[in-house]
Amino acid sequence: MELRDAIYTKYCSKKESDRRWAVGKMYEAYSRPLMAYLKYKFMGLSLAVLEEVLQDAFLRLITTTSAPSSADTMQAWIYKVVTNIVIDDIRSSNTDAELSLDELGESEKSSKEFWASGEDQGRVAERCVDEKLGVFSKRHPERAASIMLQMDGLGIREIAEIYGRTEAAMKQFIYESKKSLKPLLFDCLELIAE
Amino acid sequence: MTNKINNQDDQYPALFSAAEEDLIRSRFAAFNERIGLEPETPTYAVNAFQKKLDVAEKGSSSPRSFGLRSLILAVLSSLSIGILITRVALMPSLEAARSSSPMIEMKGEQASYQLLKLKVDDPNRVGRHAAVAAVSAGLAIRTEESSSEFKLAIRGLSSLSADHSQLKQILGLNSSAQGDIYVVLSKP
Repeated sequence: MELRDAIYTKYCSKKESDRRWAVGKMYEAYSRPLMAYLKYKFMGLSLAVLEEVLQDAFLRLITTTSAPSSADTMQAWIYKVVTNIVIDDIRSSNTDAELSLDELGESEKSSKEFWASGEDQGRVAERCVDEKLGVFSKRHPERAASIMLQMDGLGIREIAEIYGRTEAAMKQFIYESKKSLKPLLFDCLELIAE
Repeated sequence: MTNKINNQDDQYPALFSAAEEDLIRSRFAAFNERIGLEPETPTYAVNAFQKKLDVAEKGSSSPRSFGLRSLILAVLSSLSIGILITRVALMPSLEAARSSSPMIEMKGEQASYQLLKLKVDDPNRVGRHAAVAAVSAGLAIRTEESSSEFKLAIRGLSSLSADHSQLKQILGLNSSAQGDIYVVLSKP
């Protein structure tokens, strides 16, 4: 039996110890993309605080009354339920969590400015993209997170549940996000095209 | 790996070439590393969650819940306990230095520590989180707080202990960091 199926079966079991085991495995297997999304969205909160809030939300899965309809939809269900709990918790605490990425700095350097130290072209392109991704993530944290999660291999259905959108709307959102990222990276990407 | 959206749906034509996507993906990974995100759930987090599950099992029928407000309260109370413990542990030296001010004690301590100066928007909040993480990891600490600065002396940071990872993450330290550290958090 696949781990995913085992988690689903135990989560739907009436035995509380089975449900606890399942929630432990859910956290271990599925919490990272959520953590990444939350860190982009609430850049003003430290990882330690986000980890606590996220763990608290996962703990509440032990007693929640709803359940995923199948093992196939379980991951998407977890993302939907946990994201809702976390965002409610953070917003109701009135913390100034949605701060910008000021500590990462914002720059409007052109690609030419990355040539200073005579590095090879690949490295220059990397530094250029790093800089621009920092700017993009500061301006559009949700858009940046959606591209990052999709490039990281997470399915559209799962990303859509995190964002509380339909799959079609999510596809459109990611496409639009990439479209808005492209002009920012134009100079950098020219470096690897040469 | 190619862009799933580009492959699956003609409605959304490819915006980046495969090479460009590879570059962007790798730089997102580097960016995540910069802001402290790990690709997998770290062991310390899994262990901490397991402990909470155990507590929930031993406790009442409903799991122990930590909202953000209660987390902040827990942070503050742990900090007070942390200070209390270190006060008791350091009582002989405090007795000897009774005539000197806390600031002088901290300055004296600074000499034998590795100094780490950090500029953050809210020094007290970050400092308290760091203090709680240090106490939770069993480290001896001393703190001093003012409206604009938070000073934290940590003794015995280890490069081998997984329990110290959270503290290192909060302070932006490399996992190999070790020894006695004197952290000064101030506003930019």
